[in-house]
Amino acid sequence: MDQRELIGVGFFLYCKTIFPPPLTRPTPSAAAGDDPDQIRRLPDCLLITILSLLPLDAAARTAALSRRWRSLWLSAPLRLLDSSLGDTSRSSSSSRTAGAASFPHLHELTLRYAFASSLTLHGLLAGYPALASLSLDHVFGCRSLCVRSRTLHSLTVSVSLRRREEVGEEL
Amino acid sequence: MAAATDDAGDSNEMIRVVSSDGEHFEMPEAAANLSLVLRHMIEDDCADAAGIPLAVVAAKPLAKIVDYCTKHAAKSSGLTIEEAEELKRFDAEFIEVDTDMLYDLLVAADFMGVEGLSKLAVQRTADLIKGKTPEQNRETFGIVNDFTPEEEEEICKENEWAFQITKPPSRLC
Repeated sequence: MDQRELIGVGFFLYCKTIFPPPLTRPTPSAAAGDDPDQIRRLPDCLLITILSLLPLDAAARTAALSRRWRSLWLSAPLRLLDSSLGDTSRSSSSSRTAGAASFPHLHELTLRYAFASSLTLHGLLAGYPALASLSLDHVFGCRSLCVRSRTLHSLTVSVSLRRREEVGEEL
Repeated sequence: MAAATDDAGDSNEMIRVVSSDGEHFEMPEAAANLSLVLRHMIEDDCADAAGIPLAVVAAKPLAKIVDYCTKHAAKSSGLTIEEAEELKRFDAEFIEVDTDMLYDLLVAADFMGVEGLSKLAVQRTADLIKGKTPEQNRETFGIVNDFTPEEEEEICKENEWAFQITKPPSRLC
């Protein structure tokens, strides 16, 4: 996995669901000596931060740990690398993401260093009906973009100075 | 009041802190400043000879945190490449702890607002989880499987894609 991540870096999908992280606070020093399940001491917000550093598949697998963990990963900001989507071709994994992944509650999305055609981006936007904030950071392969959304209230586009892209915006 | 008020920029000043179990520790002010909580206490003139009480941090993790902050404060600015490498090695060795200490450090660093240590401990925990099956992770972290076999099967189905990437679901669940 690590190797593939290194090779395939190029497409970062940084997304955040609207599930608010539960604000449970730690029960410090409540460590019962005999209890092996000491990780229970950690508050949800810390576990969520830990999960946000994992590749998506590893984060999703934590759902199988125990009842507490089952939906924790859904609250974590997720980092998707195209290489961790199990596809060696960059463009096809981008479209794969757009087509396959469905996040009906996704609130915030950043695409970074991605190659995505306008068709792919449009498909992606259609798949995330609750999206409120979209950031395209060095996304190439799309000369124009027409955004139609009832929920979107923030759109950020960053491009390198050497490559100008035209962005049409219709909110 | 005497400990750290007259000259806020004087990093030779020693700051005393007291763990939840009553043990006293001392560290240079520059080290204490790496903790957001301690920095605010110092700025508010709460660092006196009796020491700043840290009600939720026990002596064992506090000793480690004092070590961490002292080391990092001494090497905070204008690092040469060798010094930066040495600090990296220090961090790597520092965080080689058992899971109990790791949890203590996670909670304490979060509470005290020691950002660098928080990141280090969070990354270490993530590294421990990565690349393992749920069963291996339960073993590492002592997590009790409270699912029924039916629920477990359902979860594997729900997240089938995540289990398929490396090995077949049956191997992972």
